[in-house]
Amino acid sequence: MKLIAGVDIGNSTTEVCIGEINDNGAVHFLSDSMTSTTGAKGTEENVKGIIKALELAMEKLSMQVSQLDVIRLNEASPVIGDTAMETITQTVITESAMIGHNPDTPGGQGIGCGETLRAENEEQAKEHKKYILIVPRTIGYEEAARRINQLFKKGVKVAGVIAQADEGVLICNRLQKPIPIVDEVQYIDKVPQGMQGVIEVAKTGETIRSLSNPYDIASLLKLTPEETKYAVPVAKSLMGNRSAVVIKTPGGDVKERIIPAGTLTIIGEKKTETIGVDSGAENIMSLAEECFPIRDVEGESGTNMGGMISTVKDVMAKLTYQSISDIKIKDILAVDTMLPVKVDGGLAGEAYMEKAVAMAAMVKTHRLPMHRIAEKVEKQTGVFVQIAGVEAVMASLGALTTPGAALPIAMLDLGGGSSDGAVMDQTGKISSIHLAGAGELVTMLINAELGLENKATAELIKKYPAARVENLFQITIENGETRFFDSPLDSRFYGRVVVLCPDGMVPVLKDISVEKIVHVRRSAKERVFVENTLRALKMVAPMNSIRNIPNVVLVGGSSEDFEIPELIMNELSKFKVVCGRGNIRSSKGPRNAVATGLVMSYSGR
Amino acid sequence: MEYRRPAILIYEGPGEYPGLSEIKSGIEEEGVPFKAIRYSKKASLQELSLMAARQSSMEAGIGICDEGACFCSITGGQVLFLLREAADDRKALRALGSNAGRFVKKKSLR
Repeated sequence: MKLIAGVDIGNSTTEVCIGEINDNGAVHFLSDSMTSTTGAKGTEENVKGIIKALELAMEKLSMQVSQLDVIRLNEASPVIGDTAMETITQTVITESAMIGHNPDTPGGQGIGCGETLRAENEEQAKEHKKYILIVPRTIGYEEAARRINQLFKKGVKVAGVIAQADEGVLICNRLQKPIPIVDEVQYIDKVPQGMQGVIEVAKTGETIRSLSNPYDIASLLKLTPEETKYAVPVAKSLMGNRSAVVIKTPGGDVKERIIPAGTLTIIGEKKTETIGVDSGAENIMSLAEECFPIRDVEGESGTNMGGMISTVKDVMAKLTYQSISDIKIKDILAVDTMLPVKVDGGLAGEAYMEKAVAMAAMVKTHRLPMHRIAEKVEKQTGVFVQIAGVEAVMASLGALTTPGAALPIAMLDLGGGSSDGAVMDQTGKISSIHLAGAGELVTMLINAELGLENKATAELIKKYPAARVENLFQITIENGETRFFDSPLDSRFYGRVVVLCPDGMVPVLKDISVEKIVHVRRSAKERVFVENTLRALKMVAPMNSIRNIPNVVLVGGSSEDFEIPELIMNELSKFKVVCGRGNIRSSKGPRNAVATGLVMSYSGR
Repeated sequence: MEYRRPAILIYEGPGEYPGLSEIKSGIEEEGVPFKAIRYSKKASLQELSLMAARQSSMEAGIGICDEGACFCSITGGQVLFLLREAADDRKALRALGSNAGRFVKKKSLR
């Protein structure tokens, strides 16, 4: 009878499985545990976490670690992943041609055309002429209204107002005649004077109709057909707004610039190609496929992607005591995305969604210096430590303990830094692959597309469902269910969307609807995990056909996610493949596959 | 049949409160109707705001007196005192009015 411990050191968690193996080689599983990995995977810092996990597992059996016969460590896959993003478009408003920030409470409604005039220069106003008055914060709403009414009396046609303070409604309510007012214009001093402008404010609940139409802008500002072409990006940027201002400045317009985002050089076994990041994810991934198998990838220095690629190679070099030139990128996953960026030249702090490319890259080397870890563990525990087989093999063995699974089996290990796939056939022969792009890339996409600028919130949105706070005593969860509270919620939750974390509700501090959050969350998971599922299975499947794999078992931290397995299942059902979240040893769900496999494979020797 | 016009009610204590105009501006900018009523009997700030909320068909009331200003809402029979500011902080009082308006419109508070 031997008491064996299997230890799996992952990027985020260290898992242990304890089993008893009799002389016939039959395994009887006794206990398991899980703890956070201490330090980077593959370094001596991991020993602390390993010992803790072993102690936790043995405690459950009221035994000491020293009573173990063998400790088997996984040959941790020498893979490190990282992510980066490059923006590839940028909206620039030149010469203050437009104001499109869509304030909450504009004043009045309708369209007003006129020459822009600063309120301080009102004596310059001519009778019977139309103006758009520019009102800085220093002139309060009562004074502003008084001056405008005076101008009306003099026969001056004030057709609209651009105001700096949040007082659009206050000013309009005090005018003899209501006129459209766009307020909250931060950089009021930059609004050019003496130029033709148009202001439009739609009724509550509606959006503008004229300033989002290039032909209407042309009629209102009397543009030539040539000039009307330039009105197109203006109209496009203003679509969906409740209010807007367009000013005809001599050189002014709105441009969507393509930002030079650097290049990627993909060095494949058969060919090497270079591509501009701004050609988008689809083109990058097509090229990567053409160059497969990838020997290395280089990014342009000075770009985010170039920086990320050098960093990830550097980290691996230090980890494995090799020189950086020996470290190669083996896989990339590029994803098209959008993120809100402050408009250059904006008068009111406008931010528009710009195109970007997000990328995950993965470095691989021969082996991590596991023997250093093994020696240290042996020293501290007094137990014989073995470095056992390849992670993918161990994971597949563990996955086989899922009821209903049989050989040939495919396993997808979905983690934080990489997505790994393996296929084990009837003879026990295994084919495996490591791919870039996993949980961390999903978090980055959620963070960018919702404009959160907060990785922690993005991580929570990824993992847990969202709800809308209807009032301080009730919330409506994304699935439609209503939950009530006995005591009032904190007022900072009022009117907001919250994430339902196990420890409590966390408010999302941006004005985003539950529907948008759900949509972005699911789309990010699809673009990363469904894409990588298809890529991995095609690479490891017999004759590269997914239909040749009857069973796919999902394991790893990201397989515990409440949506990811479902999204993958939906996709794979098209191939008539049985796919689902694993249930290791009928009780552990997708966790503990490798640790379990390590114990099982001892008896196989 | 006559209905009570929906409005945030503001109960003013016996003194003079220049900050009241800031509260009114804040609510007005949000486009929410309001009405200010003088309450000359002695009452604490909380009592003032609670009475205002009880009389308001929106069940939203603001009290202002020497103690300061306070916003009270009654939701599902429960009384909540949500915002409280000093009587002389004009910017904060404008924000209190604005947030009271946003609250009845079910928008998040700034």
